[in-house]
Amino acid sequence: MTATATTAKADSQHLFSGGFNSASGLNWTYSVSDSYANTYIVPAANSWNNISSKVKLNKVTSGTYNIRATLETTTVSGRLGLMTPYCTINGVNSSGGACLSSPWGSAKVTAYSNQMSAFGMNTSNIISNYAHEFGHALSLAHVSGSPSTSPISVMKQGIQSYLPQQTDKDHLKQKWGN
Amino acid sequence: MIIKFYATPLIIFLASLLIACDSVSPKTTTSETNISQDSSSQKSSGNYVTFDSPESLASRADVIIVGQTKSDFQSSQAVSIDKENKGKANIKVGQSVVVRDEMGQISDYYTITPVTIKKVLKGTDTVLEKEISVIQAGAVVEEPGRDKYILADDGFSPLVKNAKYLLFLSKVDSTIYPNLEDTYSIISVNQGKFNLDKTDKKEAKVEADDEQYKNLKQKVMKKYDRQLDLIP
Repeated sequence: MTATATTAKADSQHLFSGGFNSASGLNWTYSVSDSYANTYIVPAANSWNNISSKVKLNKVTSGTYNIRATLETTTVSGRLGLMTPYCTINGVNSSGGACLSSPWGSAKVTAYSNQMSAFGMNTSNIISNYAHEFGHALSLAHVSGSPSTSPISVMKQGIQSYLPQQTDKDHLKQKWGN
Repeated sequence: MIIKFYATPLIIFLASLLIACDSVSPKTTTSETNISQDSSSQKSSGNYVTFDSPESLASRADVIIVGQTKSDFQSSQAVSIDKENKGKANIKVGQSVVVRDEMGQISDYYTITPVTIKKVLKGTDTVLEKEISVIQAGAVVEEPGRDKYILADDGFSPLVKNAKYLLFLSKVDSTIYPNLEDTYSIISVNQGKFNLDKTDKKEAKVEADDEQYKNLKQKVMKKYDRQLDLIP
């Protein structure tokens, strides 16, 4: 697939080589209240649907799932979220960065309540934070660069209100197809 | 592989037993452990706050100091605790902690490093030459069946032994972590950490690769230039 002109650096550095084998029917569930999930996590997950015909995130509350979304706390000031993939490498169960170039069995998406609160994040910020982590679960890496020259992206670090932008959509299609 | 939504009671029991054993008998590394920061480090995929000015960074800091550590990050003692004990476990300086949830998956990770204060730029309860406990956003991890490795946030570079740093620190919330009272976190992984003597090669690489961090460091160095000149 060819990157479009609107995609700055739409190359492999913005994608993990590993990930789920397919994203056309990824089931996700949650370990939070229904109310919290519906307010913050559902809009974040759904923001990645209807971009590529090969990507579909389905919320489930029973049965099997690929991604689990949670709300936790961290000791690290300013750490807002985390996506941890799980895989098997040479027969050994692995997680985190070890899996970024391997096929994944599952992934966990976490947002940190104490830090989101400490930095005064509003509803849009929290949804964007979860959307960022779901982007990682779809094998999208960070978009970096100068704030003034780099493209708008939900995959930038920091507090934002964005959902997937054109750059992110291009990266998603680059990974999974149109 | 797809996880069963409801694990069998037996699996839950065995996982709980494993986690409980971890919290009771932390696995340890030794000072002889040689973990290559380059070959064994694993970047996690997360999100952290970024700052565009020294003023916004300083406003988040409870303490701003110049300090240095005598500890080697790679030699931190690997410890695993379950989430229920995150605020209760007896965590010691020099330990790398991985917090695991009810399914044994990673909830949080950090390392507590002793830092000797050489100069105080903000914070009234800090004393020169006193050692304070500083949380870094990375951890030495030990798991069954594999070599030890370093799990860290994207952009993380550990404090280098004997190197001199300007550090922007935020006090850990003791209402959530009463076991970490008087412990301070470097703000936002790398945003509150600035090497002053150019001996931290990993930080130099982050600076070269990350324009946002590079810009922030330039502004911070400019703002604190006069105060840093006076440090021996």
